[in-house]
Amino acid sequence: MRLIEIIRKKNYYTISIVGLAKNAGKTVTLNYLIEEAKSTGLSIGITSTGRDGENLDVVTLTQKPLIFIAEGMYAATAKNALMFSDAKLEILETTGVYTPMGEVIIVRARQGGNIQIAGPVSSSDMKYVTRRLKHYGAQVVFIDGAIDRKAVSSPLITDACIIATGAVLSRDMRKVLEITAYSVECYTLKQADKNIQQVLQKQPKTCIIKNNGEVVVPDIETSITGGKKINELIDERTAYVFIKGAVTTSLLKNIGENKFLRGIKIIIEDGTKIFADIKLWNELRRKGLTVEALNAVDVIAVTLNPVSPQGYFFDSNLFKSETKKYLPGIKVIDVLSGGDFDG
Amino acid sequence: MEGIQKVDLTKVKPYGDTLNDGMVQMSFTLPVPYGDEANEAAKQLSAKMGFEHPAVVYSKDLGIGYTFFVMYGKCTHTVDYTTIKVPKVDMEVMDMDQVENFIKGKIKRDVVVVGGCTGTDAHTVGIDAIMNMKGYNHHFGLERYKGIVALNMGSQVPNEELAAKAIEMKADAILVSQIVTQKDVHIPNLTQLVEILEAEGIRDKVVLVCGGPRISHELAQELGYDAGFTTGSYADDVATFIVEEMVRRNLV
Repeated sequence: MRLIEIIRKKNYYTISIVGLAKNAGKTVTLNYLIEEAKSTGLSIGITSTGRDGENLDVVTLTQKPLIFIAEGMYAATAKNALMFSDAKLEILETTGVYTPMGEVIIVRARQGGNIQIAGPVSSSDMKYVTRRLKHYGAQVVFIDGAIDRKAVSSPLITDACIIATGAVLSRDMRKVLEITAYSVECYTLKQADKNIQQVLQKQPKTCIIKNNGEVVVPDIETSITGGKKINELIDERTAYVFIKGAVTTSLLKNIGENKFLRGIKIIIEDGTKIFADIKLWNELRRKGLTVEALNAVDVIAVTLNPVSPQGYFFDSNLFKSETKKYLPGIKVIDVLSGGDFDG
Repeated sequence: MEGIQKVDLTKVKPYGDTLNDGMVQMSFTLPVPYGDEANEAAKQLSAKMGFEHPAVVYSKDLGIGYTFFVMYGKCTHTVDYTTIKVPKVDMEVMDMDQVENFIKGKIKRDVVVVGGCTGTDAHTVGIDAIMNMKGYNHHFGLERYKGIVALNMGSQVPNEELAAKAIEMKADAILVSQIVTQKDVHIPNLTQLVEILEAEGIRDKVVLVCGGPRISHELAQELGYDAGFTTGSYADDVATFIVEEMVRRNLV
């Protein structure tokens, strides 16, 4: 099934495109989705957590893809980015959400043209802006990510996400595959059981749940520095450890030292909360670390960019087939060549 | 006066001895042994960079097969200065007294600011210039401000420690400085802090500011910060932005 058909069938409204690095191909993916959606007659809204559609990148000074907005499409973009756009746009609303490039403004294209999109920088503002786009008539909203920022793909903000990866991550394809697989693993963690979900809805803090259902809340400001205290509270009667917020390397190190590691399940909010070093993560998984998520992220596709702006590239077919091997069950699309005809 | 050439701002090029002569001096190192062949290599490379009449005016053996060059050449390119637009933090800067009065009148409590030089960066000149009491270039730092509680965590602060400290102190603003970095490592380092703050659910509760010679307000947008300050900014600029942003976002 084509990507756009999956989005329609699952009734998704907001789709985030997150990259594993700069130049991983997020905007190329956005343009691909815009084309696909147009062919199905869907009414589309677009925005960005960073800045897209300008022709030179502010960090690497490499060429960036332009974004073409067709007549009837909606966009949410900052005032100063609007000035650089040559499409004829109708202003629908000034949102009161501010970014370094000015207030975010909701527009509809009256005549097609290139547009720069710079949307809300924080996730909660993003959520508000996507709701406004829906209010004006967008049936699906695509959010272009920025650099390697992933917070917007949290299931609390968007319905599904697409992960853009590419040769830019490393000259060594193995390494690219490893990082990509790690990210996908974090995103697609198994969702916690219904009954534990119910318990945690009443307890929105980091806590330890025992076999008999008893809930212990450690006296910590944040889990980031609370690893030691959490660790002390884990014993042979511990069933679950719920981590609210960021799951960092030092926190996992602390929990990893616990001798009851094999007997417990770690529950986190969702895959975007993991900030662990990839080596430590893999090591702890081997030691028996089990992690589940309160909210699951639906990764509807992984897109590939086999070309790095640093002047090297991978064989496109090999890169695609290797990625598929590493990510069974995930739709893999090379957006630079061919699209997703073979599913 | 007659005969004086006027500057054409639509076609700007470097000035050496006379207007529009395009003269450029630059230096670089090549991994080749010192000698005539090295000089020729440097000249050919400069020609490829688009310089006319490249000349080696100085070269020095760096040992172990490396040579350092100082080159002259004429730049053949121009830029249109009139079309350049750079987004900046758009505000009227208040001085220390004005900021203090603003806090007293509109915020009515202490403003807590936590800052540091994060990741691998050990160069604290930037964060010190903004935060330390004595400040820099006749602009006192944030520690001096009445109504501001400032904590400078120093150099090589891990993002998670900065975030944890901000949570513990219930910070109103977080300042991050990045001075010397390699291979753009400051970029993922800066985004990681944003992501941790999002994960901890406090991104909306803080004014998040980054600064450094390679930071711009435009880059801040891409990184997910509220503002970016570059070389030439003082504590007044940063303090004005923080207090005004707090009031605008209703964080008082």
